[in-house]
Amino acid sequence: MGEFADNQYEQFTDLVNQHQVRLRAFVRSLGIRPDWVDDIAQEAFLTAFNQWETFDQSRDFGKWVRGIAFNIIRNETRKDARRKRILHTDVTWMLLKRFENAPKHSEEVSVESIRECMEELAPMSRRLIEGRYRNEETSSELAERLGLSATNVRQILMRARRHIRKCIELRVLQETRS
Amino acid sequence: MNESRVDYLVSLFVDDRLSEEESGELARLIEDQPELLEELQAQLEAADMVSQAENDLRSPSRFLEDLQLRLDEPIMPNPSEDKPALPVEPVKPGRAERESRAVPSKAWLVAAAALVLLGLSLAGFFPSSPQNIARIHQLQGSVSWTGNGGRIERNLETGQLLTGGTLETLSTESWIEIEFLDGTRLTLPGPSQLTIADHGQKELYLKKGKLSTTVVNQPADKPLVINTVTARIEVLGTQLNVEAEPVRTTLSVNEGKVRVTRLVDGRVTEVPAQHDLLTTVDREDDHKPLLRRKPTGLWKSHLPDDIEHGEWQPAAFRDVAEQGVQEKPYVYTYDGGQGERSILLHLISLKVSECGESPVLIHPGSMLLIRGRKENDTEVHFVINTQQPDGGFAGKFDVPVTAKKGDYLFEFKVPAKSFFLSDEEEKIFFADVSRRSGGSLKLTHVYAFSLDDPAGLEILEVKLLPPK
Repeated sequence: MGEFADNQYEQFTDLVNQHQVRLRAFVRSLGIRPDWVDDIAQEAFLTAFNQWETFDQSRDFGKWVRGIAFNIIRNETRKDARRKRILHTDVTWMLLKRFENAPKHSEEVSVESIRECMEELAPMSRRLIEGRYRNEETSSELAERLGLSATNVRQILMRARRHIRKCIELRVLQETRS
Repeated sequence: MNESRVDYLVSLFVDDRLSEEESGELARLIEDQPELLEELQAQLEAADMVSQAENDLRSPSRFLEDLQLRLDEPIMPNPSEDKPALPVEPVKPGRAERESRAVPSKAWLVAAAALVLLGLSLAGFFPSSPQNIARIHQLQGSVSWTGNGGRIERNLETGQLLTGGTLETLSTESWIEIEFLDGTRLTLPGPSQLTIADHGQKELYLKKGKLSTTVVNQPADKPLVINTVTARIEVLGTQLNVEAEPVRTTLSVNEGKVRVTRLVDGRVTEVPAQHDLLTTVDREDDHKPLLRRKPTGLWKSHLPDDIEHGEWQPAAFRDVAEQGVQEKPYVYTYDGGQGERSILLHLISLKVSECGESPVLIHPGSMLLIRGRKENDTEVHFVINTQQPDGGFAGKFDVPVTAKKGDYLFEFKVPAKSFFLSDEEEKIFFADVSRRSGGSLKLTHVYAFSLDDPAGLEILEVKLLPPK
């Protein structure tokens, strides 16, 4: 490899910055264990970095790097069970197949948009989301702390995540149109 | 299969709490109803986005830093067991005209990543041919310098010229003062990390820790910019102190006026002299500057709020009714004259005043009262960290104290005049330094520690009493 010019470094880190939120969420959506999501997303960016010469810059970088992540995860399903970073091989295979059959274009998302969507949640949902994702409390711990059942906590979290995702996609759509 | 069972399995899957049996059940359900995949995918995706927004360890800046650290590691999975990760999208040929690329230096990418994150233009941030932009004015303790090209240097000397790059003061005892070529001075007490650049406009990125700077007048269209994780601070000419923590930035303006942009929502606030401003990631915060209160010579610790390093013991004392803070190990790296050495401290660190509170002034006639408990006769050091009353680092002063044998519940009375500058060959006493600043210095931290062997130290209360 030769020298990477300053403006190209800037371009690459700028692209990482633009695409990392969506890429990490994409990795997770293929059934990767939460603790390994960032690891795989980084592998994808590092591969992209080393294969930069092969990337046509007129094309969608996000789609390209998601493709790289897709292949890393597909390789992951072939590993021994004890070394896997995925939650369940069969489920991940189905998720991979779904993506392969219908790869969708995804606009980039900012952490700020996610936070704005979280602000729309009802107070209890907000408390549970904070407890689960900021303080990393389990559903059982949250249930005990807030006097709810663990099942109830999971249901509220499910609804909250549904709302957040819808809100994010709506915002992305509105931003794209404007 | 009813919907609640599906939801139950999906929620457990998202939480990584599904048993092998339940995973199989979920897989079979999805095979029968492929539309469930969409819900599962949406739940997983949303869970990750929320985690990125809420968990500091997964913040975009953290991700970029970790990515930089992995640049030197092998990227591809082991080829003997995995296929290389190739892009799914077909790749166009005809790249010959492009410039080839190499792995960038770590320092560059850290700076670039952080600044890109902050929405800054990096054009010219590191000049292609390194130019000296500043000079080391004074330093103490262990300081690391990563200059252009990523070369890490630890044997820094007074008078040494610096290009753009990153300074890191590695321990609580270390600090460095540098001067830009136009006379703008900045002090970085440890532990802090600061990236500096000057490409006709000075740009700093305070990744962590504290920065004190006296800025000479800058061109109106090219203010000195200090970036932190939460704020962008623009300065034309003033004296100010900044402290950057993972989710908040504390600014104290002593002279002039400073413009601060809260990065989370772009809200801009002007901070006049003698005002402090706290910038967090909380949009609910009104982001208004607070007039600094009148200084005081009297201070009393509020535990556990003041703890910076140490273990809070809510009701841990068997023979003491009060609550306290217990020492915690801390590795201190310093230059011992024959290269760097690391020693283990058993440290308690307390912050003296927070944003918006009265500055606490310590005079040579002041008295520090420290009540606590220790389990053995190991010597304990008390150290105070001070700033000039108008801002700017003044020094870290030390005094070693040995309790009488068996004196395990102690109350030390340490006169301020007995403190001397730590890490100096000749003893320079507190009074000599404070005299040059009009008699008093601003007290910012109190540290207590033992070297090598733990003293079993617990602090119950610290008080500063003004001169009689």
